[in-house]
Amino acid sequence: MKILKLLITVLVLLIGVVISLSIGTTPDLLSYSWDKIYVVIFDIRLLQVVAGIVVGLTLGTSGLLTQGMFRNALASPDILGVSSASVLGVVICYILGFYSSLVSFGFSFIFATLLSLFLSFLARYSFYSLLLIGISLSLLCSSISSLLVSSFIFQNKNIYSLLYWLYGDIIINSWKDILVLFIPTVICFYCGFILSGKLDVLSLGEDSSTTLGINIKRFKIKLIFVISTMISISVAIAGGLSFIALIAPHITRLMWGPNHKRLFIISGINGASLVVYADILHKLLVNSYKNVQLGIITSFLGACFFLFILISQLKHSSVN
Amino acid sequence: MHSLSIKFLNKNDIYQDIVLNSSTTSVIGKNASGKTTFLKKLALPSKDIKLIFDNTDLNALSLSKRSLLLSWLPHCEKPSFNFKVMDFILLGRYPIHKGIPTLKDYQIAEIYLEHLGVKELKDRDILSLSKGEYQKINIVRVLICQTSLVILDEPFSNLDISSIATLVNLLKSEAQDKDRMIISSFHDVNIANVFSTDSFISLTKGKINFHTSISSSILESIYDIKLREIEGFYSIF
Repeated sequence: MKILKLLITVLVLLIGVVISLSIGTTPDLLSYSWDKIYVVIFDIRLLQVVAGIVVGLTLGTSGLLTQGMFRNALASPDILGVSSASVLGVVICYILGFYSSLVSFGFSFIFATLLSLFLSFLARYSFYSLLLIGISLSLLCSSISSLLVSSFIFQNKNIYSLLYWLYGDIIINSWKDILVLFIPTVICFYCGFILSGKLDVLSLGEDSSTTLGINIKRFKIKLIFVISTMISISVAIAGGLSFIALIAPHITRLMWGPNHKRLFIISGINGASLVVYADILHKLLVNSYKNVQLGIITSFLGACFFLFILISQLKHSSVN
Repeated sequence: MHSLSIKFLNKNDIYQDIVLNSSTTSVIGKNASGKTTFLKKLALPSKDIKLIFDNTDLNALSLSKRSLLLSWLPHCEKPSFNFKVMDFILLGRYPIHKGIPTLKDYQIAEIYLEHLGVKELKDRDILSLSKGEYQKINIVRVLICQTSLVILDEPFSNLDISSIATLVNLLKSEAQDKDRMIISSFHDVNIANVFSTDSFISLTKGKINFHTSISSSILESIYDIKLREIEGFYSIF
């Protein structure tokens, strides 16, 4: 039964990949020569899909780790502002004149880590205050990013390219860019998977986890490190793509129960599926409406879903 | 037989040092007298307290070694995610199985569920349980780690009298037959008096006192109320 469910989850992703490979901006692809078809499929479409899968995997799993860390299914790195801080890091890096991908990755990692550390200090207070502070920080960071980009936009072509990326769009030019991110991604997955086993214990509360032998401070710092790296990876490829990190673990928990080790793997797959399907929708829309970014689609669908969760929780809390 | 010596290192503490030798100890006191704070001080690693348990300094141990010696039932704390009852209980043996429960862990859990007569709950969702059912499951979670030292904070809150009777017997047999030291706080002095016979800790206005037995006069000074003793039981009426 569980194996069947897992197979369906993977199959959904694979079907998405196949659909995504067959859709694109080049009309009548089959009328071209094989060389051209190969370039379009392999160097453009497959590259885009693989980038989307990496983004979805990192977002889905980092979302799960964040929810486990804050012990609440409404937490996610984009709602709490970690993604926006990471985006701000890249924007500042570009304005200072560093265009190397490694330096901008470092900047986005530092900003994401600082913000998550700040949030983890607040974690002992009520989750809803934390959520509101996170949302405010998220808006603050993204408004500063927009301000900076729009004021420096005509000075530099590199900054102009940030305009699309700011709201979340998969912008990737070569396989080299993906391969560079491959090693940190694999390391993060390994570490995240190991850490996710302890999240079950953490859901009993911090004091109980301490008596069960978990060093909370050290555990949280490890978690923040992994989450920030994952967010920086996804930001490096797709900018501030929002709501995937909230929805993927949430849906997965509804279908698979709360066991975090299992959820870690499947949230990753579901996150990848969500990005791939959002990208398909994006491609269909771009054909008729130019200048629609992928981030706008995920924000629209994600915000609807978030509202739905909040309203259904509202009903639940008024009954109690 | 185990022994536990509690030394308070912080000079500002009004607590006084205590040595416990009995297998069962009751902690009693009015609301807000500091029962939960005191038990939490024992349960969690802390710098201003020295706990010597059978010649081992508990607070000098690593957390994972400490977790094999001491387990703790917190007061009213629900998990944040909706686990199946069995998965929830097995989290209590995390110090032993480190995240991958074996058949032995399941068997031990089943034995305790059987003892408490709540075996049919094991496939339910933890957040769907009533307060009393949850309290029983939570006690099972704490007991199955089978540590030598067990600290329970109000284990009988939300429980009916028949469940309390079963649990008192279970806890007493755990302490005597399996040689575990159990320290537990209670609201009801009569239950405390049945649970432990020669070891009581009372808390009044943050002051801590050790008694080898309780009497009407001691209880009256703790609770500031007139009590009558009827055949070994205390009544306010």
